[in-house]
Amino acid sequence: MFSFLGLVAVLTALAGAGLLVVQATQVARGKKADLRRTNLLLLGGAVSAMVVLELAILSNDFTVRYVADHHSVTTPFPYNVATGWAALEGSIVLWGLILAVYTWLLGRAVARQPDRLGAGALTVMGVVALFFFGVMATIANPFETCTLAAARSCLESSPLPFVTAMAPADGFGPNPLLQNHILMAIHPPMLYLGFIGLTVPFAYGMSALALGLPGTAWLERSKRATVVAWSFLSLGIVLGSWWAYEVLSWGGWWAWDPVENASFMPWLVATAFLHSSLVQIRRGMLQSWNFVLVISAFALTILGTFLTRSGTIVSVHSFTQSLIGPALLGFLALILIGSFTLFAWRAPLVAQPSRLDSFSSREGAFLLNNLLLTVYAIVVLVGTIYPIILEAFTGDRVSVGPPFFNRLTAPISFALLLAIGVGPVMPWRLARPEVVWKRIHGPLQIGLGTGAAFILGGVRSAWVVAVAIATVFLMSVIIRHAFVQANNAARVKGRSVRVELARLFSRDPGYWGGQVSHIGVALVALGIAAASNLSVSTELAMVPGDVVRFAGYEVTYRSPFLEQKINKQVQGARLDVARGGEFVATADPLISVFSNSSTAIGTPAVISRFRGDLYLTLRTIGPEGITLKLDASPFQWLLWAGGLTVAAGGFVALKGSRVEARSDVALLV
Amino acid sequence: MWRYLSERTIRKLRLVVTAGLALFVIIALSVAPEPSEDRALKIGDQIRCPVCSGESIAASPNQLARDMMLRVRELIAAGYTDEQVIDEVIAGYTDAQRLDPAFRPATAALWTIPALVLTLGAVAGARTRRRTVMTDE
Repeated sequence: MFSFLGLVAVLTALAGAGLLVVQATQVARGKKADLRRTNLLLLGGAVSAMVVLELAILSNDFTVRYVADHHSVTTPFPYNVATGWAALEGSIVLWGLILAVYTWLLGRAVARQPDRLGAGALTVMGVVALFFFGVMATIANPFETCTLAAARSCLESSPLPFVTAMAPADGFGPNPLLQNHILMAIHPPMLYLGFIGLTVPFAYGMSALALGLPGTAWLERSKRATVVAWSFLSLGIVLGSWWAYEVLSWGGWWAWDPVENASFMPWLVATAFLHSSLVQIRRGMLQSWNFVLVISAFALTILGTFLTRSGTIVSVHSFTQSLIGPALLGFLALILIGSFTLFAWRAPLVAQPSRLDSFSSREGAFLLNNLLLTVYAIVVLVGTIYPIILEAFTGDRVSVGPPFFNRLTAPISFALLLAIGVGPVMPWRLARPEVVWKRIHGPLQIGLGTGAAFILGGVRSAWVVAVAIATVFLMSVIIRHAFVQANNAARVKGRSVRVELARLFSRDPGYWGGQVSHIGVALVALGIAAASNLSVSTELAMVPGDVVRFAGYEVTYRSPFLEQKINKQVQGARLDVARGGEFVATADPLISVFSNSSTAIGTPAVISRFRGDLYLTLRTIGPEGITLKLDASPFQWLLWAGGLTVAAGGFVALKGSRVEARSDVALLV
Repeated sequence: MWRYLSERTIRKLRLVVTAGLALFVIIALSVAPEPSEDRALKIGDQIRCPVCSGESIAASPNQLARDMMLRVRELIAAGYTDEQVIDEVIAGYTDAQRLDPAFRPATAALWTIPALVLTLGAVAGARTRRRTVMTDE
């Protein structure tokens, strides 16, 4: 039954998407059509598809192939719900749902005020929805009926709903790695909200080009969606990184893994876009560049999906495993060719009316920011896909790993930090050196003073000191600026400085939201500098009763333990961690061997405290004792706190863009 | 006593303080010894575990990775340089075991493409500036 209902839902959404393309095109051409109902058709189909899939999972209906392959009666809540999007076909269903919601929201804005630009954007949304629901109805159908079953899996299936179904007694269950931490269930939807949200500015951009309406309308109309998408993307990246740190025992939070890079590249480009769109809104510059950025950001989300969903990453040769890979690649080619052709065709209309007066200006700083972020994105892009391309064309294999990315991105990141420090307090058009100097001199002294204090305190790592100076400088600039602004407002309005400080956010949420994100970036930078330069690690052999001293901790190995679970055999070591003779916590690092995999998977034990984390990983365990890897990384929480602050800044900025008409200061400054 | 100093003198004094702090930081960092670190783990980070998916031998709990880490430690003890250790450990494998790819014709694009984008971007950015300063009409 669920197979049938699911198929109906997918086909309904597909029909809705098709109708939307036709009708929205008519409206964009100046005719009339009721887009509301079509939009509801798309949304209704998309919601139903997700609901049906979830119901099939929760009711253990193993006649549905997706359920048989990815769910098991033993899967606990909330991981059974998360199974709805944890595997390939289900993730496409979630993608379709979120796309339909964004389309519906965009449609509501258009319905309120029928216009060609918005209708054109709806056409583009419809085309993208057509692709995803088309994929769902054909090559990645999550509602296929199982026709031949083995004990715990489905061997053959049919896309038709009314065939004789055969269900396995139980399903295979989700990937074990995906069901041991709550963050795993949360972070993919956050990333999707970010990825898919970037379709909205892309749709507006393409609509503006197709209709010959460049200018700033498309930017202003899509600004909220861009900030929403960017904030969720930031949140998704942080939560994903946090999950990796807590669950995978590679001992780090970021491995420049292609899957991570796939989420980071659109973030970098979307960040550049947020800033450069502001330059266009304020000063009319960078019109062409904004089209390039919005196309790139959207294309990178599709590229990211292709990289993570096609199996290309493991090896180029597993390419044909699923047809979704070629489909996504084809769609990516279509987007790139289509949108850049459109762009080239309309290039004469895209004017560059205004030019830069001086590099020493707010827009000059934005130009630098865009250059750095673009080069950053290119480094990540080349490092991620070059090995794949090289192998595909020459058979030559090369690995590009963390040492490469770290070496190239560290200087770019540092330059960005300095730009963040100065940029936000540079006046538009022309920033006279003495004005800028007045605004940054005090903060520079505070930053340098902090650096000197670090050195006197015994920190010898040049990177840590440099990043500490840059970040303290950056934060002081922002805090000083807030006080100066509040002071001026207080003098004019005769209110207290404290009241005016509190009112800063409501007066210009775009600017101050942006500054909150900047502070978040600074915290992340500080966290990265500390974790990668001041962390210490060691690896040692221990037998029960052994005590080791490490980074101020005393770690005692108590005993090994063994647990036999349904799908895995878990070996673990019980350790006591103390500091200065005082008990801190017990730690149980594990090594699991899953029944469906021969590779041992380690699960770390993480003890998080304000001054830093102690990260214990079991490398080997046996009758002769254990080998334990210990990592102590100071102030690890800075990374998570900073990342969450970045996302929070976006949401703060969002609060105000609705009432922006009141203030001529645009969203991010 | 501050109020007896002219504003200009105060500004000069502040500049001296800033310059002094900057000088201290720069000198202190340039004479500071390199922080000691575990060479074996650092080298291990640069070698890909041959049987894992994308993990370095320093990070993987796999037996082969562990054996390779032991070899790294032996070679360090025998006085090999970092580069010699890597060459020795990945002997018998291809260059693809290096997580930090060596610069050769096939890999040159990894560096040249970003450098090219940086150059082109800088040139394009420089061209956005008004060549002649316009006066207000």
